[in-house]
Amino acid sequence: MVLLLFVFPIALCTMIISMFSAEAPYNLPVGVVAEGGGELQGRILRAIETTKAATITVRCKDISECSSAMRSGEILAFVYVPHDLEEKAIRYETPAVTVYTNGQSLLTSKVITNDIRVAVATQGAVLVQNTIQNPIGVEVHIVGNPTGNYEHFLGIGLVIALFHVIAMLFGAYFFAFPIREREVGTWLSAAGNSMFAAYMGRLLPAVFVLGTEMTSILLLVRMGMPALEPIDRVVLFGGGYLMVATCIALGASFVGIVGEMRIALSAAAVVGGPAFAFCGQTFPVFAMPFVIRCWTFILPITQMMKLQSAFFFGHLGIERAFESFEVLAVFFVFWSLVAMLTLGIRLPRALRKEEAELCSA
Amino acid sequence: MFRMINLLFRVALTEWKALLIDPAVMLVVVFGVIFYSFYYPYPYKNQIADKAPAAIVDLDHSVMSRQIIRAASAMQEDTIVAIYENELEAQKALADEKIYGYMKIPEGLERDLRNGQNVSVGVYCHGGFILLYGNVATAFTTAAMTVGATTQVKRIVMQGHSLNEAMAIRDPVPTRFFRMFNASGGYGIYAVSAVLMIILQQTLLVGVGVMGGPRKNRHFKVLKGAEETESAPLLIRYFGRSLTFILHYMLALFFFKHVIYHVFGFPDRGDSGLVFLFGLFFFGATVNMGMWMAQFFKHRETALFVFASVPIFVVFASGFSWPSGNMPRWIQMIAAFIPSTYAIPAWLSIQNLGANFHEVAPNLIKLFQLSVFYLFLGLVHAKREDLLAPIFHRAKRFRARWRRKEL
Repeated sequence: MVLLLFVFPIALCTMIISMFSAEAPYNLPVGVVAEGGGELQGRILRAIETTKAATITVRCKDISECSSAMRSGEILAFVYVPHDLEEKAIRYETPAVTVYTNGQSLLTSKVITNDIRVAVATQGAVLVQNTIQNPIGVEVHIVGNPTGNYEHFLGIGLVIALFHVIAMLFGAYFFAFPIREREVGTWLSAAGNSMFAAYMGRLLPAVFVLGTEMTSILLLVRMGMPALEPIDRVVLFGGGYLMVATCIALGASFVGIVGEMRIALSAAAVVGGPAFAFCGQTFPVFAMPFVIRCWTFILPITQMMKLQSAFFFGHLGIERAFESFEVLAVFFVFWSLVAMLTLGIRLPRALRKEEAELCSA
Repeated sequence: MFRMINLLFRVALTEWKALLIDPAVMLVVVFGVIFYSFYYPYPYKNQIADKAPAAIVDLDHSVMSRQIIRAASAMQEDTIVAIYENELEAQKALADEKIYGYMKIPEGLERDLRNGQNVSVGVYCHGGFILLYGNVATAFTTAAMTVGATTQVKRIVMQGHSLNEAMAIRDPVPTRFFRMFNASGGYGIYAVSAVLMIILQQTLLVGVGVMGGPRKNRHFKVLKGAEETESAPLLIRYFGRSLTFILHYMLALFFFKHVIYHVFGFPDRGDSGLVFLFGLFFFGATVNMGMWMAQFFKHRETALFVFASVPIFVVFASGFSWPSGNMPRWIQMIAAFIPSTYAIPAWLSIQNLGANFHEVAPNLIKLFQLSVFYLFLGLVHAKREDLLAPIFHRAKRFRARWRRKEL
């Protein structure tokens, strides 16, 4: 229980946040196939070397050698610089520098492409002494995450996903525990034989612990993001507690439905485990098939993700955050009712079994 | 010798029967594997998130701003769903997730361009969506730069160059980009291939854990009448049960290769022999890890919540998305003891990139080393457990008797 309540959430969150502490990928290994030579070629390679994203680690004789290095994971991209590059460029023949990236790694592919494009274009402009730039410049702003920090992109989402699965597993474990340990009688009598008191007595302390852990970590990860007003904080962190509560209630419902810890845990793992893939943070929900979009909507994580992403805009997102907050509240009430109803049927049976065992002993 | 081999196969068969009958294990290692293999890739069926809703804030209302709008509308990556008169409306729509990005065309854009000045357009993307931010920003940037290029070429021509020369001067050394092995940038190919290995690893660990690893004389209902195989010598018991899981998961691996990859249109470039060898090393390492860890679990269900809590960390620690070299050293050290850290890159190289043995050998060797490491730990621990088991058993009986007396 200590593992699920304290060790896993804190240790795993620390590891996940630390993982992205570099904020953006850098020094990614890149290969080069440089035919011939020349000053321009040298300048382009030096320019690539000085980019933040790429660092030249392999020089290949030909494209197949670099392809092999890419297949073995030694490099993530390679640049092919043709011979007579400079002569052709001066003759306005626009010789192309070709960049091959590993499409199996979309993130690094994108970062390398952006940096190398700028590096090559700059050296080309110097060669032909072109002082006339494209008159329309583009300034890209990433709202709520101005530096393109992946800790904010992914870190927040993964922290929420982690608590989503842990809370669900904990719910299943915690509510099935008295059944496994033959302590249903003790539990119910402590609650004055009230199902509501028995359910809340287990739910509330768990929500308090896991919810506080999650909101504290979110507070930490959100540093450097748009400031929030007091009401925004209430909605954001209240939403966090609600998501945790809903997940625990879901876990409890699994126990009520199947009446056994192992199968309840398996069900919680199946529903909670891959939820991050469905919440739309990496791959947008609108591009998913209709059935999945419906399934996505009823997962607590989706609502929490929507809620937290609304606050990427500071107070401007409060209206939409409220919508998700309300949906989470409805989910919580629904799953709590299911849990109380099913446990209300399951627990007396477990109690009778316990009493029978005691009598036979 | 023959008797030993016979016993080994009987242990393996008993284990296989047990894991197919026991609902808690069957749910994970049979149903879980099949269910996950369809359930996880399905959201990414369309592979690409094209036509993301986007908007434009046109403060210029000129011919040139309309040109930019037309160019942006023609892009594959976005769909212009609204043209706003003021920025606040666009910000609100972005916050409400009605759009995922917008471009602001400033007032006086055309006038400034005609006066020979440079101008700047702003592209604003939602910071919470990794994939869409890149798509929308690329679409808007390309649209604006394409329109700008016409003016740029005109200005170069005015310096006395021919049109062809001007076009060459604008971009004398163009860069061409090729995305190898996943030309369309399909998200499913990128993410699912890696996650399939996590599904195999985690369900296998759960399976081994719930079955109790190499424990002697397990008191499971499904193992009634299997006393001989349950009390087999340690090595026979250990390797017999490992064999079951390795064979079972080998079937799952080839099911992924020959069914799932084809159903979802993922590239199937792997040589079957190499895939088999990969499976042997990967499952060898994972089963041995499970055999060792299972011995720490007092209750069978502990394996379920331990291994079901960690996949998010495990998948990212493998470096398939975020490069391993950019992770802190201590994370890399933890990741070094997880089989998927080597299995994911090896699998992607073999199956998706079509690598040969020589190209994946470093990762296969690492998996082999990990396998030997966990085998050693598992056997030593199991030997210790075998020696201590009678003592624990006596203590347990004594406690039970004491409890009955108390009652």
